[in-house]
Amino acid sequence: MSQTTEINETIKRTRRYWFVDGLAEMSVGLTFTLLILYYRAAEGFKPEWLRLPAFVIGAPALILGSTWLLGKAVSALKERITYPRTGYVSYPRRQGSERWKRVILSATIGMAVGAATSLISSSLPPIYQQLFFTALVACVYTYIAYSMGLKRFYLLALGALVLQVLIQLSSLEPDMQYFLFLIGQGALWFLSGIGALIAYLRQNRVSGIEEA
Amino acid sequence: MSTANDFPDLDRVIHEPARLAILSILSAAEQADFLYLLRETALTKGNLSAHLARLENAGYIEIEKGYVGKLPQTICRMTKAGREAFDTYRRQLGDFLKSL
Repeated sequence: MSQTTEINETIKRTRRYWFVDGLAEMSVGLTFTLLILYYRAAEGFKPEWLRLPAFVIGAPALILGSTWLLGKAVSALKERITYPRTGYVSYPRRQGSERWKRVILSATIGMAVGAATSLISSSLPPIYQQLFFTALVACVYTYIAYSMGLKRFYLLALGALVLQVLIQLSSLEPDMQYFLFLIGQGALWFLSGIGALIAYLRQNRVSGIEEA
Repeated sequence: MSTANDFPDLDRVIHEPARLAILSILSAAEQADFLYLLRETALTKGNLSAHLARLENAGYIEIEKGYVGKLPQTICRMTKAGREAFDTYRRQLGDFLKSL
């Protein structure tokens, strides 16, 4: 392995250390599950005029609130569980306009992908729409697995495909099928995080190393 | 064919496997503690401390010693000079390897 490859691998390994204990994944899984449950509940809000503010204001507030709260929880848990075992790493935060550029870029890409997906899949029968959406989700997981070297995300991609197959074999309405698939993604992330945490705790004890 | 004259004048502080590993880690992080560096570099405590001191003397890293509860903790972070030197090193190494 050349030195440049070694340097790149070391950098990649340091970046994915944030995911070593599965806590971040559990947090994402919880946030996503809460969001889907909220959307499901908001669809039934009465009177009907409440639904628009529930989606437009309530959903972003839920995302921001749960992200903040769960972020604090993840940091606190890492201090108790991860750092005493395998060490402490913090990552640079983008500041000021750089941060907002990233947020806007992510939102724009999300909207563009959503629009493209709707456009392509709208002419397809419902079953193919769902399969197309599932393939897209599996591709995202595969990309994360490849770019970050997080191999368990290949299993997440497989899990998404298997889940969709099982859902299609049921006789549920398309609306419920979508709901179950999305809730299933939250559950997959959460379970993946738990699996990572269990493996991490088995492999790593509190170090008790006194520094030189 | 490369000659001795083509060999880049690589920074000898960085061009040492242990210190290169330390700086690679710190380039991806804002800061990291002694325990993390120890596990990732697989050095002995004494060896790691010596390399950190070398990097600190060169002005490439800052070392901050404190406590977490009753346990001592040493935090390391790259300085601006360290980042520039590391980026230069990577560029020189990459150019040299491409020229082979």
